Amino acid sequence: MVASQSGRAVPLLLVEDNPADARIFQEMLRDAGRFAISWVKTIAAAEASLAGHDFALCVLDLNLPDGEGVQLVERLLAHPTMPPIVVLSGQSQADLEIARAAVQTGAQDYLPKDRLDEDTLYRALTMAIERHRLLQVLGLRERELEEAQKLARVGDWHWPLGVALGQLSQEVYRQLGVHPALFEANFRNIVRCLRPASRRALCQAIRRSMAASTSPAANPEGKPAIEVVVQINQPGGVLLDVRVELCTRRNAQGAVTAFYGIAQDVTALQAAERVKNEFVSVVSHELRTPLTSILGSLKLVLANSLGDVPAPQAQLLGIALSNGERLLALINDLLDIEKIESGNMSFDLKPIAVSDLLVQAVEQNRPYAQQFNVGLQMQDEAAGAVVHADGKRFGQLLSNLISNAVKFSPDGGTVSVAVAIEAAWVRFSVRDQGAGIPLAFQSQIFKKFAQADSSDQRRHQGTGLGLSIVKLIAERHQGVCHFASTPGEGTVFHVDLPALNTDKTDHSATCDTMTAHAC
Amino acid sequence: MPASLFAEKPPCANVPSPAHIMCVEDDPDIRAILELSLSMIGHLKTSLCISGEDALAKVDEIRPDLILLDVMMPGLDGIETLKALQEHREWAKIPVVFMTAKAQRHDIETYKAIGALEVLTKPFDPMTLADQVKEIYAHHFA
Repeated sequence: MVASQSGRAVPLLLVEDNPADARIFQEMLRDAGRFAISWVKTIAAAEASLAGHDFALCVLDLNLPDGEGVQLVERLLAHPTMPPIVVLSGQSQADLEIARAAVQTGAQDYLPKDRLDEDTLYRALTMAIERHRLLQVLGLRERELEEAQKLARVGDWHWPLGVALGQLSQEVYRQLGVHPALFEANFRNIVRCLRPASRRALCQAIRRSMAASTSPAANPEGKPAIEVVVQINQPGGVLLDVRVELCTRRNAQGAVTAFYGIAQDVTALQAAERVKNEFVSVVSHELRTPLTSILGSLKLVLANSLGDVPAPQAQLLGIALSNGERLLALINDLLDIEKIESGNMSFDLKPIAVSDLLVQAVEQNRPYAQQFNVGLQMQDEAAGAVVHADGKRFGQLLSNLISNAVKFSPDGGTVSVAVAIEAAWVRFSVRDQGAGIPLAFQSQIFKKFAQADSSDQRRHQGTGLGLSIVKLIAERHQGVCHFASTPGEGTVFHVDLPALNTDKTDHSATCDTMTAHAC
Repeated sequence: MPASLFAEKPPCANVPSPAHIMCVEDDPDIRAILELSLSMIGHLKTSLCISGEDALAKVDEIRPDLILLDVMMPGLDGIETLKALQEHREWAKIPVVFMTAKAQRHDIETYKAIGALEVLTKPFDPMTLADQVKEIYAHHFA
């Protein structure tokens, strides 16, 4: 506490017109010996004292010759150096009501004079000083946090389920382009600040966050945050790109009790990203033109079109060809990533039987697996199940997983490709018998150009982009991608998609009430 | 060089096949590969044009059965060349296949919407290009 920590007497201003009461008060505190009491009899004298001294506490009688009641508190609170106030009241019901009103106005506490004893008084005064100090610290921290959020352009929000208004930080209000005092932060009003496509995206993200933790695919870090970038149309016509991160808080039964998360203004980042993506797109196209000549020439020569090529030369030309094809694969992957991230890759989602996706992917990749002397095994435990998918894109996802598993399988090994029903989800699984993913690398696995060690890319002829593409395509299907791996025992990658036709509990039922009218 | 590679294959009586292909491509290296691929591997009569303007100047003389048209070219690009062909009563009947490195899904939809019969992506496989072209042609006239 301030009083005991400083070791000095705590300056206290006593405002009391009754000399008897003032004397009793001073005597009660005398033994404590910790307060240096200045006594005045009127509110005018109190204001004059405050101007010249730095008091730690003001004890105020609510019935003075030059004023009474709550207005006394208001007058003192208007003073710039006003210390915390504890009011002294009478014991009647009317006096107590005035004292309680004084606390609501801003006084720290009230003390009925007739019930006072030394201990109660001392405790009440020291607690008032400490509470005031903590409130000041809290206020300072809040201002610092607000400033930090403004600088970082990251706001935070919290929304208990069933509560009409969300709790938004100042930065979120700034992003919405509204003033906190003039804006009712209900879901409908917030959604109205968004462009139509973003409204749908936000509602989908809410549904996904509801479903995320019920999926067996909660992400390995245990933070099932869902990200969505929305576009805010501010009242002045300014457009802001904002990345919203949604998390759910759940009770012991797993039911959602609240949403919370952050909102980051990424307008500048998005603009830079668009420039980068355009650059990648142009460069990639320009690279494909010379590659057409290089690969075409090598293929014609290696096919003996211009005469038989001696074996040593054919070997070197073969090396040139395979590396040219690797370069082409890298360019294609880069283009795919750029297209998905920039939203330029269209997804033609329609109901598709999962068995068809499975068979097609396995048969397409069988010749590739044979090159590595790896067998492909198919397991369909979801006959009849249907998912919303873009057949071509999801086929690309499965091909990436299968070719990855093949590359990391031992000679003569088997890759098993399976599909099964997991509650309301369809789970595609690709399992290899490879060396597994080192523990230290597992958190990096879906990042671009991720390779467990630098020799991996060369050894396995990978681009380091395949799994990033898998994750992005899965997300565009409202799906989740995750894996399990034990070093030395192989790896299994899973992609979970919402099933269209299995008996299930509707994950989104709870949040639908919130989103139904707004989206 | 094995002589048999240059021998003209007799066309199949039942499946329509393009006798003469006109390739429009500004990159000389790719033109060389196209010629080898179509004429030597695919046994197709092949004429080369270096630009859209060159193609429009020679199309009456060449009278191709199918035009293989690059998209990104200086001067008249592939799209403009196709539109110019479509404005001519006789030339408009010649099927045009785009061949391009700029072949994202929305690009392909655009090319087909303006009248391209099909879109082939660069890099192409010179060993199978002629078969692809024949298949597209046969499918078109089937």
